[in-house]
Amino acid sequence: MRHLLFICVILISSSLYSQDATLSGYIFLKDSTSAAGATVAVKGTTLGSTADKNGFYRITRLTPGTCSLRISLVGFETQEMRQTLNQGENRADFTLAESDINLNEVVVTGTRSEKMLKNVPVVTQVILARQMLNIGIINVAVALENMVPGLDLSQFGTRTAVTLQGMDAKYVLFLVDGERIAGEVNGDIDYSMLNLDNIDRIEVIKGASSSLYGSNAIGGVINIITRRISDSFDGKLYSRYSKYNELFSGGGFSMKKGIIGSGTNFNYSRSDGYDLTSDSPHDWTQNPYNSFNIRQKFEITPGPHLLITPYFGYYQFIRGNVSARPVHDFYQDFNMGIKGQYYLGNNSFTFSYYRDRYNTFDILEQLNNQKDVVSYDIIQTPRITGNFYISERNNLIAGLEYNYESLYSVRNEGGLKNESEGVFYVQEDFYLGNKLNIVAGIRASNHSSYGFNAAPKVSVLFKQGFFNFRASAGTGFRSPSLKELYMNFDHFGEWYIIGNPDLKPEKSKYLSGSVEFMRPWNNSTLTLYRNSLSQMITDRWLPDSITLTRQYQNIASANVMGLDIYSRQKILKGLWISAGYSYINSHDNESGLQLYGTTRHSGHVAADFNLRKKYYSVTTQIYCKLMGEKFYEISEGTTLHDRPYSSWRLSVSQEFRFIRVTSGIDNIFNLIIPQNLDFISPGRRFFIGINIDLGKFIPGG
Amino acid sequence: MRKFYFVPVILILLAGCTKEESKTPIEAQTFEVNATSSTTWKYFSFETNDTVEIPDPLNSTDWDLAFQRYRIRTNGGKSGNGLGKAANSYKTGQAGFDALKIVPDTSTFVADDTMRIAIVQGYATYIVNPKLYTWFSLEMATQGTQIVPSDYIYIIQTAKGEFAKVWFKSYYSATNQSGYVTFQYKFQPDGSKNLE
Repeated sequence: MRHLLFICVILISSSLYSQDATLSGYIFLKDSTSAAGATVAVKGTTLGSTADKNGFYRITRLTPGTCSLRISLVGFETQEMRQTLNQGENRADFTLAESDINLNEVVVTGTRSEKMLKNVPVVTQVILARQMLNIGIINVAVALENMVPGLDLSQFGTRTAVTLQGMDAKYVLFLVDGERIAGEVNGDIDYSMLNLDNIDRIEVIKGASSSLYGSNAIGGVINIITRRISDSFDGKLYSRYSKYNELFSGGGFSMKKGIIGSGTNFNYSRSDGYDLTSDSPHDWTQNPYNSFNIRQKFEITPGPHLLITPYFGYYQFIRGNVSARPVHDFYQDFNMGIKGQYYLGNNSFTFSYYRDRYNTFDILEQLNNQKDVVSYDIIQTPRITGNFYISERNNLIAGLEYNYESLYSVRNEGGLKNESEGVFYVQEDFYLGNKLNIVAGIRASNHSSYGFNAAPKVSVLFKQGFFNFRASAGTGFRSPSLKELYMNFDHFGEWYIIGNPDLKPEKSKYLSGSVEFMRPWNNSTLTLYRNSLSQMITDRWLPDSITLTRQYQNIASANVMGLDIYSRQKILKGLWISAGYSYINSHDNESGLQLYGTTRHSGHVAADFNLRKKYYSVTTQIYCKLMGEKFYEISEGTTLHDRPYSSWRLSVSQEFRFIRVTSGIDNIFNLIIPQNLDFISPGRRFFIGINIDLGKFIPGG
Repeated sequence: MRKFYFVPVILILLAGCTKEESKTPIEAQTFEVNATSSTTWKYFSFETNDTVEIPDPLNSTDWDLAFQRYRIRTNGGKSGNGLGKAANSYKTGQAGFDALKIVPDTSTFVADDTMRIAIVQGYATYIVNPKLYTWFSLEMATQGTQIVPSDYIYIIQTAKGEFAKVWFKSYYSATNQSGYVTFQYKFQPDGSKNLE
């Protein structure tokens, strides 16, 4: 017996160690400087490494044979290559080429699997957090407005409202690492929760062309991908200051020890607020606030095939009171989850559990700042997904998901309400010939309120020379929200809004076609789309009630048509010009009016210059946002509109060794438009930010 | 607590009877009236410093002001058979509640009348005091529309013809419930125009 045990130990330990392969080497940039921070990932495993300040990387516990490597660094072309590994030590060096158009960027949102941007059939736009931070943008919503043609921010009260391709935020699904965010108000989440400091990139998919995502993905999906933890110690501190004592400060630390990696991010921001309309002193343009945010993530790799990621986060936001009411707002969010990824040969499995709770409180100033609960919203999602490798040219993804949401609101009939949804989704990703890639999927769900729903989608990618042609057709839907189902809002006893438990989901049909041109000196995309919505939920006066009552009903329908153009052109080495344009034509079929708050024409023009030396780099950007007239058609003949405008921004970001100073001017030409919902600016503002990269001067662990 | 105010008021009244030109300073009071109902009116009397139950408001001089949400009546004109009416002093409460020392001779008093008021769907007619309908403005804000006091000091002639100055300060209770009108006032029970 003892001998048997001994043999077992030998066998296990030998299978674990003695047959292992190790890969190490240096990663260089074109000018032979070291590519510090570049990552090498072994596809189909949890293994990988980050290059240290000398550009050195080392990956252990590899299996001898061939493996597929991906080498990436922000601002450089991602490389994918196969490598043959022998038992023992192996050596491979790589050289990365500078690139401002990185079509080898890996994206996940469109197909729920890792695909290079140039190979994904669903039109996806990627915004790299690092590039945004380089031009002094910290907030996710602002980054989106700057980069995505057809995405627009407005301000209603103190809430930021997003529209995408003419559809308001109810029809846009916001995700963080694929998970929904609690606490929406009319579809808009609390965007101040989302800062770019701990994220890697934002992936934007317009329209209902992304399979597998659920309710609300009618206008599009915006998926925020958080950063992976790198091997070596990484620490960052930053601070950005501008007028009205607006301060963003924070930092992050990440490190890896053995099989456990840990990443911590924190952020504090505040502002004194300002008022552009002195005739309404109880309604400021921007209220004073202070906010705090902390996130913690662990990455545990017990073996080369298993990655477990537990995480949690806390956020709070306090808005100062300038209103006539003796109350100010307090928002709070707790989220936590665990995700596991298991690689089995060419297949992979993901399981996850996620929970997010968003609380809103009234702080009653006359009662010793007593906190009264106004609402809380809890979202929980367990999910399991399998990614099955059928052949080199055929992948199948299937998953099960259960969504549970509870909403307590003082405006709900009976206070606390909940809904749940069981989901099955499946997607085929296959090639026909060498040039044609088809992704087809269906999402079937059973909802506690309205029952069964199925949403099929198909996307096609055809590659021809330097061109990519894409087409998508899909159906989207939006489940009635808990508010729409159960609201009971008494407006001072004078009129009421009531929910409707018999609501059906809103439906949409989306068609889009796009053509993309790809060269190292130019990348351009033209997209045409049409989105038809039916059974839209809107509140209407009930005809024969004694009291004035509005109720939600599935009665409206609308059509939205438009086109988006995005182009980026190299002028000289390091100097690029980019431009975006969006045309939206929306039509409410019942009233014959344009949809509320849409802009027909909008766009941007930007020029950026990048210079990189061994210890010094500078990024300069001048950016101009162009906004056409915006309509708020209330009824035939009553049209409010915001006038067209252009707004300019300049930023200069300089990096010397471990310190980066970003400075610039927001709203260069001092444009002030009071009473404009779309353009909220107190005029020209200078900002300065400092970012210290501790990872670059403290030796890595 | 409010019941105790009764005693000093009676004392002041008695004092007013014995001494013809009383210079006794009158007390400023603050009152919060629960006017949350949009169907019934809440009646307030300066003499009692409190709300009062009035079975027949059209034929009673036991009330001086009436509240229904943000709508305010005086006991006169179409609202009652008292002498009630209101004037705007053109002074604002923040700067000069104490500065208004006497009922100005230029005051234009207006009695209650029918007013057409915009509501959510079209218009409705209400009997209110038109001067007192300027006590607030509607502003869009964080949590929807808010009622912001215009901070005027109003001069009220009571049902019995005495004077009071009133500053409407808030529409919200400490728990942020709307329909709670808080006002500060000085009531001169001796019938004179002195409001010091």
